[in-house]
Parts: sequence; structure tokens; C-alpha cells
Amino acid sequence: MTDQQMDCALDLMRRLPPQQIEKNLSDLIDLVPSLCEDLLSSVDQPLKIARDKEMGKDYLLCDYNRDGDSYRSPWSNTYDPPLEDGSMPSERLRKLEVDANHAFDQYREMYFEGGVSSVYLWDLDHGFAGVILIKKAGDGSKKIKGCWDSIHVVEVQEKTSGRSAHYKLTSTAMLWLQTNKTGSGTMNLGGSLTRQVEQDAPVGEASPHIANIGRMVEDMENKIRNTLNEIYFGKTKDIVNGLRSVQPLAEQKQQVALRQDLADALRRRQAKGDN
Amino acid sequence: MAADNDEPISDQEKVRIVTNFILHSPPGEFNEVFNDVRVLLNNDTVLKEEVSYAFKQYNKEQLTPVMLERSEHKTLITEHNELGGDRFFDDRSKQSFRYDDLKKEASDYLPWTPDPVAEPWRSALEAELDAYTLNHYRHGACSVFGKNQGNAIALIACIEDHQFQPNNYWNGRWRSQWSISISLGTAELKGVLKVQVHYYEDGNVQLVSSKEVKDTVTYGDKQGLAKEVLRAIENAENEYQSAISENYQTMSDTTFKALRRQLPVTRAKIDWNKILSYSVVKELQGQ
Repeated sequence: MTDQQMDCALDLMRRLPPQQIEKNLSDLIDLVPSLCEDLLSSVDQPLKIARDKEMGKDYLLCDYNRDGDSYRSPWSNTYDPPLEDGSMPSERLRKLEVDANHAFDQYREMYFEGGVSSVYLWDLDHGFAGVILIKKAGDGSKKIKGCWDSIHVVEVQEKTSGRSAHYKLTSTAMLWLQTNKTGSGTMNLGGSLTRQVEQDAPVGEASPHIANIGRMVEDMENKIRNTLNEIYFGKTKDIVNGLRSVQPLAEQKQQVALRQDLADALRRRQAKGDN
Repeated sequence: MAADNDEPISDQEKVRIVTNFILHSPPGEFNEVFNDVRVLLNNDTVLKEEVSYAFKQYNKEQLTPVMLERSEHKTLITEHNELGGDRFFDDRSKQSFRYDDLKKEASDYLPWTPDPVAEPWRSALEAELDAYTLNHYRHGACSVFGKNQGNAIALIACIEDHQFQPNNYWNGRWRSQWSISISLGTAELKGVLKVQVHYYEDGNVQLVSSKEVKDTVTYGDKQGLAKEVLRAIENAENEYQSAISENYQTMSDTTFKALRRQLPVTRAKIDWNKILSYSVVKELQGQ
């Protein structure tokens, strides 16, 4: 019964307006409390920012750096509010996590020129997993509010030789655009797209894990960016213009008929010419 | 969030939540949302007794078109032609009918007399609205309802067009509602325009937009009023749709570009090995 309920809950989140994700998720958890943990870990929400006062840097919140009601900062590696026994990455993994945060901080600056990023890693039996988060808010120019959230979850299965690994990447990009102007009233275009990719790659000094993961994330984000562009500003716009036509349809029909007449006339003239 | 304390919520709270979900079904997806909600609530008695009024509210808010017997034109299910007891009227075909909210069908027809004072104004406007709808909406439906409020006549003009393509993972709907308050020589117009589009292949993307419009027209006779009103409606709806297109252009050219570049300034993808050696250098420098 709970499997079916989980399927229905996820289906519902795919249909309800994404502009109210947080409220919808909260209501859903109230409705079926037994699904709480599963829902929190599988439904992507817009990322929240918190301040690491010790290090003077912002970091992003998600289910993967949460323990109870506390969140772990990737900079100071401590929980806020403090926890005695909070879940922590192993020492070896924490070192990798520090490097990953530095690397993706630079990635973020080169592609987003601003915003906040955070990377959280956790141990698996034969490898490790991680999440790379990025959030970038627009400056509100042209009276349009915009925001981008990236959530990349990567699973790394290390082969026994230690010289290669299998990487599985699930990426969600959220894009939020809102405007409130006289001509167009309120216009709210928002939501997310999700993609998945898997590949094997050699692991070594020339291609360490972070480089392999970085390349996958970069390629994936570039692809999703293109798809967001197509869907948001192409597809949804086409759908609106398919519902109503500014140009009178009778005029359009006339134009089509005129083009058809011209095409027919040309064909007849060509046929005559051939003879 | 009520789940902060570990008390389960009341049945009344569950009803509120489930009703809210149903009322927010994207156009064309009521059945799917209904099925999801039914499984999650897991209480068909409560669903039938407490939530079923929301089905009708949803259909009215969506300006749902319905085919009628003895009429070439569909009519729309709205709050303006509701009679109570599941019944609605259609001034155009002079009949009233029972509407089934789940089957989305009309039945149990009875003759209906439109208000005689409002009727000549209503049918003049309807004739103009029909031509306008045909000219701007490829698969649209429209209705005009007339009400005599004693010393004033009110007309409500509604237009609806939708495209449902679930096999391609998208649905969309346009809704226009215009209230026309007729006085001597002038009429006040109030319009509410709404667009909703849902795209859901490997994701969930929605456009939700609405605009309120106010206008006044002057007129000579009934035919004149109908023409003036439609001129105002056409201008307002064209302006709204053009402004939406303009926003799309700005969002794509300016806002979206400023969020994330296609490539770094170097115009090449990142050299990850360089990035990793750079961060090592930073560490050695004690930053």
C-alpha cells in the first residue's frame, strides 16, 4: 500500500504547480506522515541558504547535510544548531569533500559569476556518493525576478582494482522566472527538469574522482541549460500561441490560400515551360 | 508544518489539503490528480461526502466546455450560469441541464427562458463574440449570460480554449471572463484573463499568468454596443498576449543569460586538472 502511495505522491508533485513546491510537500507529508523521510529525500525543493558565521561563508541546505533539525556546513564541517553526535563523513572522505568544494566553487564562479555552491559527500560500501548544489539569483533587472537551482547527485562505485570507477549522475535544474507588469499582469514561469547519465572512467593521478565528476556535471549542466532554454522559451511559448492567435485566423487562412495559389501558378508555368 | 509535533492531523485538515490539491490540478489532469489524492487520503467516504463539492468548483473555475443536445455550440460551466442542485442554464439554446462533474456530461434537459429584458442585448453580443472567438481561438468555446438587475443589465462573456496532449506530456488552457455593466450610453467592462501551461516530460514546468482589465465604452444601440465591446475585448486580449511574448523574449535574452553562461569567458570548457592543482596551490599558500 505504501509503495502505491509513494508513486501517487511523486505523481502529484509532477502535476501540482511547482511554484508552490514547499507548501505542497509540507501538506503531502501532513497527509501521509509515514512517507515523510522518503519524500524529503526524493522530492527536490528550491535550495535554502544559511550562513556559516565561523567561516563567514554561505552554504546550501538539503536533505543530505541534514541531521534532525540541524545542517552541516561544508566549510567548518560543524552542525548548526550544534549536535553532539551528528552524522559526519569519514576523515578520508572529508578531505575529498574539502577539495570538491574548492573545485566546484571555481566551477560556479566560471559559469554562474556569483551565487552559492556546496558539496556534501557520504560513504557507501564500495565507494561514495555526493551531492553538488548551486544556487544563483538574478538581480531583478528589467523587472523580472529569476533564480536557478542545481542539484546533482552522484554515486561512485569504485572497482576492486581501484583504477577505474562507475559513476551515476542524476541532475535536476530548477529555473524560476516571475514578473508583474502592467501589460502582462502576473507571469510566473517555473519548474525543473531532471536527467540521468552513467559512465565508467579511469581513476588515477591524471584523472582523479573530482575531475571525472566535474566533467560529467559540466557536460550535464550544459545540456540541461540548452533544454531549459528550448522548453521554457520555445515550447511553452508555442503552446500559448497555439491557444490563441493575435493575428486573425481568417487573415492567416487567406495568406495560406494565397501562398498555395502562387505555388500552383508557378507549377503550371513550369509545366508549360517544360513543354 | 504540523508534522513538527508528532500528532497526526485531523480529518478536517486532511479535507482542506486534499481539496486544495484538487483545485490546483493543471488543465486536463483532473482525473490523474483525483486518483492520486484518492490513494493518499485512503478514505472514500470522506472523499465523497466532504471533497466532492471541489469537483464542481474546479469545473466552474476552469470554464469547462460541455456539448449540449439540440445545440451546435458548446456551452461553458461557470459560476454565472449555475442554478444549484448540479444544474446549469444555457441562454443560447434556451435549455437547462444537469452536469455530472466526474463524467463531464450534460443530461436531464429542461426548457429555459432567458431574462427577456437582457436577452436582446445578450444575443447581439453573442453574435459578435462568436465571430471573434472563431477568428482568434482555433478550438475555442464561448458563452454569454444575461442578467437583469432591476435598473441595470449585466452581461457575462466567457471564452475558453484548451489543448490537451498528455501523450506529449503537455497541456494548456486559456480563459477569458468579461463582465459588462450596461448603463445609458456607456458600459463598464471588467475582464480577467488567465493562461496556464504544464509541460512534464522528465520534469515539471508550468506557466501561470493572469491579468485584470478595466475599460469603458460608449455606444448608440444594441448592435453598436456589441461591436464596441468586442473591439475593447480584442484590443485588451491582443495587448496581453503580445506583452506575454515580449516577456518571453526578455526572459530569454536577458534574465536567463545572466543566471548561467553557456560557457566560461574563456569560451572553452573547464580544465579540471588545472582547477584541482589551483586549489592545492591555495592550500599551500594557507588561504
